Amino acid sequence: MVAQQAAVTLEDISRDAMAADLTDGERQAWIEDALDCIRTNGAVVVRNAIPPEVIRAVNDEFRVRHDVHMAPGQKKLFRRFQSDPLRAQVPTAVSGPVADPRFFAPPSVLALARELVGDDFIIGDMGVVISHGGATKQEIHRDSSPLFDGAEMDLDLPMFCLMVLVPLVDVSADMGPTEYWPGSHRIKDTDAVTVNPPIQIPVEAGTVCLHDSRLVHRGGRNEAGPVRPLLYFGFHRNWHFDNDGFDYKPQIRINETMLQRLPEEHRRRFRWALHLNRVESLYEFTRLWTRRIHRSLTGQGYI
Amino acid sequence: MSQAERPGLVREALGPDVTPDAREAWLRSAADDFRTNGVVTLRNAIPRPQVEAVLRALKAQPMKGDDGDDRPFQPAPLRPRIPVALEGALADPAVFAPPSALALAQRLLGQETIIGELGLVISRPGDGPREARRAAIPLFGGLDVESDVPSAAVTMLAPLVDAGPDAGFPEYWVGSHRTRGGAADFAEAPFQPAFEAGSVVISDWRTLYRAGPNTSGATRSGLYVSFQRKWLLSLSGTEYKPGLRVPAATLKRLPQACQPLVAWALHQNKTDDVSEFVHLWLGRAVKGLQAARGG
Repeated sequence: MVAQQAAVTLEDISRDAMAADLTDGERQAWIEDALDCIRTNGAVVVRNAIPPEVIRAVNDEFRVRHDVHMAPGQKKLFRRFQSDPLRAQVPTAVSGPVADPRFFAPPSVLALARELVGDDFIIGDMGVVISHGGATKQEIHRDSSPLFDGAEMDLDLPMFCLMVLVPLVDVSADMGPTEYWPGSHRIKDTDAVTVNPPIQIPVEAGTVCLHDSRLVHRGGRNEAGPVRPLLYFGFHRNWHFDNDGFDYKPQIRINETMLQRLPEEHRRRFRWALHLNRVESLYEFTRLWTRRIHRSLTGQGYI
Repeated sequence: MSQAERPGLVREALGPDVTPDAREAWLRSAADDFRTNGVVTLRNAIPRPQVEAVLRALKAQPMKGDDGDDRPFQPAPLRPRIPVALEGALADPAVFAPPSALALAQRLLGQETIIGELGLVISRPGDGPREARRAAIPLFGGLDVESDVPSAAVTMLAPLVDAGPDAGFPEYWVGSHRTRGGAADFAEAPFQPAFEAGSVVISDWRTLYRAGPNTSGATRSGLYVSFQRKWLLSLSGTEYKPGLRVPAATLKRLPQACQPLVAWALHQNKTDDVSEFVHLWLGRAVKGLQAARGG
């Protein structure tokens, strides 16, 4: 039994985002407090990290771009990597409102990421998980494999991947919010950790949940029904490459045009993934685009 | 005791007829010594005929200009480092993943070890000495823990020719993968392995090494293979090259047990779009024609 988790509440790991008018000293104090929280608990929830209009723009675009995934009752989900057909996981292109740094790197998140995974961190994976009404609880999991074969020291190492979760809508307790087991990033035995109940993270849109990729967690059951899209970003140390489960999709969907549209300071975080989005031959290129056009003309769902 | 006299720095590779018990004993001992020393020479790891076949194949392959497709990543023009495609004679697992080296790498790095980089390093006559360096990048911002963690990668250097000390192959500071900089790094004289075709030198990526000047009057070449944990993404110097060039056709021909070593890199070898695809093949065709005309 891992007793210390029971004492941690959502409020314990929640912070308001850094205000824009903080002094240097106040800003540093905010960062240190939030760092202490995530290093101890494995997670920190930052309220009002992203302005409402930015979230709205992304959500509006999603309803168009990902209509096939967002439509209620849609079962044929493109590139599904979750065991539940009512929970789609889709790689997201770094374009449109998603490519707005206020969305993928808001100041509070960026300040913490630099401290936790290095100033030169890369965005190593990025996508959306769309949970439909009736989606069951996700499997309990961690977002990364141990670096060194699961040796005890793996859990003592500094963070190497910071996961950033951004719900695009308000998520109530019955809409399947993320569930964390605080402190579990430092505990090897997942079964012992999950003897205790997790804490649920219902949030309002604009809140960002940050967690150490070693933290034990899961998506909750979506009982209420509204479609719940949640963007995720993996902020990795610049040597960490997550190739588990990416056999048939790129970790990041980006091309040279998208890269050039990003502010220069952020290009280095995505540039590494350009080669993941290339097609192998003229044949593959032709096949890819004829299929896309065909689907678009016929209105067929994916798969 | 000088560094060269430390136990476990030079070993005979595993023979083909070794019993499972003897193999396990060899592996345990080799891994223990490696964890202490950070470098080992495995003698007779690759059969000489295979090494000679690779050398012949590479000599027959036209070496393009240093600013061309070979994509060298050494600042010194006399020491190009070239990722070569895993095909032909080189696509023989006995060469790029010799059993003893692979078994040791997997013992050190785990069964999910991949080959992250593979290529040629060439030193031409007149090539000068290099600075001592480590191949490793800091994983955690240079914290002390860097030298305490197990290996994230080991590099195999396989000379394709017999070479004396004047050929400029590297020397290594034994145990320096566990030192944290400063005088301790260079407290002892470096270990200069004997570089013979068929032998391989395996070093922890944190081990300090230094290549010497090539005063031998001959070009010397070696095959480098980086065995690494599957999560290690080395961005250094790889903006314009794939660390591993694996044609899909090669992958299909490899023994199944070897495929996971390189399968991860297939997508690294794709072309961007029609324009790049056409450009690449037109360029290759033009160069091929030029070579055929002796240009």
